[in-house]
Amino acid sequence: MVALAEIKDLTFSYPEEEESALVINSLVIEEGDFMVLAGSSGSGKTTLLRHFKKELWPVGERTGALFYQNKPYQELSGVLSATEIGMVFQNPENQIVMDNVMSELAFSLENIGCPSQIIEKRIAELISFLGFQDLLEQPIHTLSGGQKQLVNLAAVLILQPKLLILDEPTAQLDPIATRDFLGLLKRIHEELGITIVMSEHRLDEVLPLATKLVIMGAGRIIENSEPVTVIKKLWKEADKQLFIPQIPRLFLEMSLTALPFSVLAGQRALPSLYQPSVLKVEGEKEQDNPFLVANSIHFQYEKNGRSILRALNFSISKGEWIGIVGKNGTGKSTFLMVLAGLLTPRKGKVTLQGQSLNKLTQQMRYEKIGYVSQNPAYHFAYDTVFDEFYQRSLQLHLENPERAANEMLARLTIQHIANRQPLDCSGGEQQLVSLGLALLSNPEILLLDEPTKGLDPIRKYYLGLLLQQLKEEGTTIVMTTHDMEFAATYGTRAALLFDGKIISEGLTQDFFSDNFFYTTAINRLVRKQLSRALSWEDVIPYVKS
Amino acid sequence: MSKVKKNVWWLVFSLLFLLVLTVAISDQYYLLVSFLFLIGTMVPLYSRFEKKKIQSREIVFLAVLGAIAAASRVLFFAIPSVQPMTFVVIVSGMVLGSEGGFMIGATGALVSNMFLGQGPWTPWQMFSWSMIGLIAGLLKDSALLKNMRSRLLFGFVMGFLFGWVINLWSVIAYIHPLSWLAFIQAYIASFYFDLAHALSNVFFLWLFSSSWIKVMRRFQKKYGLLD
Amino acid sequence: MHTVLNDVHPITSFCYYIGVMILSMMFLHPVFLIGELFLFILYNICQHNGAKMKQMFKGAWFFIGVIVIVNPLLNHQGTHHLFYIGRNPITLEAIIYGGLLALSFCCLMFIFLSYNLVITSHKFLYLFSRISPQLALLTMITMRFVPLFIRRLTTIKAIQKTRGIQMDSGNIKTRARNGMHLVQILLVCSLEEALQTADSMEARGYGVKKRSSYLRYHMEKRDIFSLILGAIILGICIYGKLKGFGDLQIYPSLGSFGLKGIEDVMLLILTLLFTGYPLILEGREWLWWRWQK
Repeated sequence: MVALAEIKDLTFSYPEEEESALVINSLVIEEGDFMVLAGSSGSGKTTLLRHFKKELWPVGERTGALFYQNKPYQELSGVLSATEIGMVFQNPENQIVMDNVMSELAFSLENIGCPSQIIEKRIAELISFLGFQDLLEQPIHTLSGGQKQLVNLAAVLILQPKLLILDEPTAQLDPIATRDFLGLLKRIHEELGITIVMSEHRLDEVLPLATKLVIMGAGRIIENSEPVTVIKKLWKEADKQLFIPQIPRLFLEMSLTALPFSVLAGQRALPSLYQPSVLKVEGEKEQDNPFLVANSIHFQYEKNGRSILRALNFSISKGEWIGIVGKNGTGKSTFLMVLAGLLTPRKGKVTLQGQSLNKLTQQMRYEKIGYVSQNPAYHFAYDTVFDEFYQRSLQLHLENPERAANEMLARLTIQHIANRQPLDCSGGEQQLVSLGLALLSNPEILLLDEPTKGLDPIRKYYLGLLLQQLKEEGTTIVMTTHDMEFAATYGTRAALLFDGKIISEGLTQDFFSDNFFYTTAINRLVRKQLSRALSWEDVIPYVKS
Repeated sequence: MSKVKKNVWWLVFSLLFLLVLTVAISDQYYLLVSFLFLIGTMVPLYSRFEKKKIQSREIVFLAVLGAIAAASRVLFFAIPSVQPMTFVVIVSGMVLGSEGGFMIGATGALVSNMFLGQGPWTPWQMFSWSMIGLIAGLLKDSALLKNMRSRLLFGFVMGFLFGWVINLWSVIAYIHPLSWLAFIQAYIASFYFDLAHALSNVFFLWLFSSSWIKVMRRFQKKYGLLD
Repeated sequence: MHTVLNDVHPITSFCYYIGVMILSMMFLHPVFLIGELFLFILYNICQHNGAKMKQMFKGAWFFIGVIVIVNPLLNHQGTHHLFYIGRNPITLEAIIYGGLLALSFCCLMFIFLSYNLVITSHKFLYLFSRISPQLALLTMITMRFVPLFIRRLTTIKAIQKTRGIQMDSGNIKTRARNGMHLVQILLVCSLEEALQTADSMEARGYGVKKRSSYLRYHMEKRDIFSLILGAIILGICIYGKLKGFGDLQIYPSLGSFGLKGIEDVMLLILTLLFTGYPLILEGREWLWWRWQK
């Protein structure tokens, strides 16, 4: 094997920060590797990835040496670095420069001064390989998030790179778009032999593709080996177990030697389990006290536009926690905004405790309803995190707004960012701030749009605990999510939204065990033996020792 | 820096002189002359931009502000004469200087018309807004724009000037023979529109200019665009 | 609606529009202008632009009226005094002149109406990228941001209702203030996110070399032929105009509406030929398909 890129004794620290952001003794990327980088947010994954791309080296103090094909990075010419090392980032929207796909692809080649004929040829070739002729002439803003990310990948591939760096490329995508994207990565790895380094939080889908798994923590490499070896090591450390995907986790919990990553491999290795003595089938609980009710909601954005929601009926009782699943573009976010009264339905009515939402003043409405968008930045309106809380408390006419703001900071354990610009905080922190804004009024119901999007497993775990605590205090929660495991672990009910309607709905266990695709990985793995098991915890009691 | 500024002032003055001279000498071909004037003013400024090697962050920064200007115009289009775009252009000029102000005014006008429809007014709007940006940029360190009251006055005057220049093309093209009376009549006819524009400038500058300048400065630093 | 003119090289179609703008402003003669206007309306109908034409008239009639009325009010030359307002005579000549200017304005409106369908922003930028690539790039990025920002602002507007920053109620002052506060939030978010756009440009080699421009359109024989012929026609027309043909004599006293001689007839034919270029292309296409069947 030949080393394509190599890092030796690298230390790096950001300006005005004492602690080093990176301390890497040695990291070698060999030709043909598919290296996956995991670790909690703030562990230095992005900083490390940026070091493989000379143009994007962060500003700060740096010691040590970096090599690309045995040559120091500093000696790399601009054109060589641009063409041979490609980089795709997390947010699909922000990476696009031009306003249609063709110009976007041409943009990369124009940068390195390619003549028109070559550009034409390369576009033709690439489009045939990727098979998206239909997208070529489309304006960017008509594409879905998944398609945009594919365009971003294509705009890098057209430069014919040897090394592809991806920084959490699927964090903003829904599960189906994620699978499409990873499928394409697999193809370019296998068919074109491009070396890939990518960071990722959700390891479930990507582990079967990986040849190497690197775990980072506090700017250091903790593990670096084959995925199976690394997962086994993680298993031995209690605080790292959260990183292990569900299927290998189950096998480790069962103390089996086999360590499969996919459903198919898992089913082959799965031993027979005890049959559950009684098939416990709970009847549908009567909804005695509907708290928030949506009655035959119709919604469309423009007069003659596509109808997003059609005759949608929905109700939730006090103290429930419902997870709404479904593909992107089926109207989940729109529905949540209608429930929150942020968008007015074309027909139909939303009632809160029997009272029509539009009868409530906006002030009252958003004291009772807390809404958190999947884009925390859109909640912010002031200069510092403290100010955000303070202004919200003022608006709520709280007695002591200053104290209320400080208490909220303490409650979310984010006092250290009180004086920071909200947008300078990390994604996870921003999300906590936007949640805090909603919580200041002690809302009776929380509406959360994709609360786990982009979170690392540890943050996700703590968010789950926080929300669970709120639920126990009596808060009703409605969330949309792509994370079946999260919905299955914490929710009391779940619903499937499709084509503007709620297609099915039920208690969490009934709902997921009924579904074939929309269910957890563990359920798909063990459903032949234990149809109602959703997580590894559900399986363990039936293991024959 | 000051040399550049001097050159720009020279350019503007010599072009104005040229305009007055041509109008004085010939009483025909006003439209042609006025178009040549537009081109004569904008091309040198554009070519300065073209010749500069411009960083990716710089071009993106300009594009964001141009797009904010254009988007705000498209959004407020239904309400006549509330022109948030003029405010955006003035503030951008005050932060980025004459060249940035010029580019944002011109690009914002051009791009917003790509969404609202191009017409014979496009070059005039590009000219007016780019000049507002340019002037705001030239005066950015002067007491005139540092002081809030005179800044408001500046916005007020710009609102009227803008309307007058836009009226100019229609008067020049469609009233013959030209007379001062024609101009005065056109200005009286558009007085309320121009007043509304001027007042909305004052309103936005009064409430938002300080916070916008702060935001832009902060991001200028974050983008590494400060020398 | 797609017409053949949409398929010719952008340089050709752009030059066509420049040419007809010049022609419609140059020959202030009723026969010329009515002929041109007729062709433009016909072509706009070919482009299925009917609804837009109506809409445009709703917006433009006021201005057309102003041109017709204001000219005679300000201009008292001419020998045919119709009536007096105060001491000032209203002359037939000035009314006719105002009418001609209004016709010319109508032509210009129709020209831009079809221009907006043919010279899309992409073609415009394509033309410009050859003269001024950096400027074209800036315009392109700005253009890409606008729909994104409008969508972003719609979302921000909805979400900020939870914080009482809304435009639904309150007097105009409150609403305008809240509106601009929303735009400010948009500004902050967008500047933050656009940092990644700059990174993505950098990562793909922006600035490492002098950029090339991808020229998507190829000049065909038809384009070259059209350009040469158009240039000749336009040249003759300008020459004719400078020699004093093709004008209606208005001042000091109104001449005849008819064409004055063979030169005028020639100029009219050439002007209409030039103006009718897209219709000729359209007709050829139509004939070809007929022929096939």
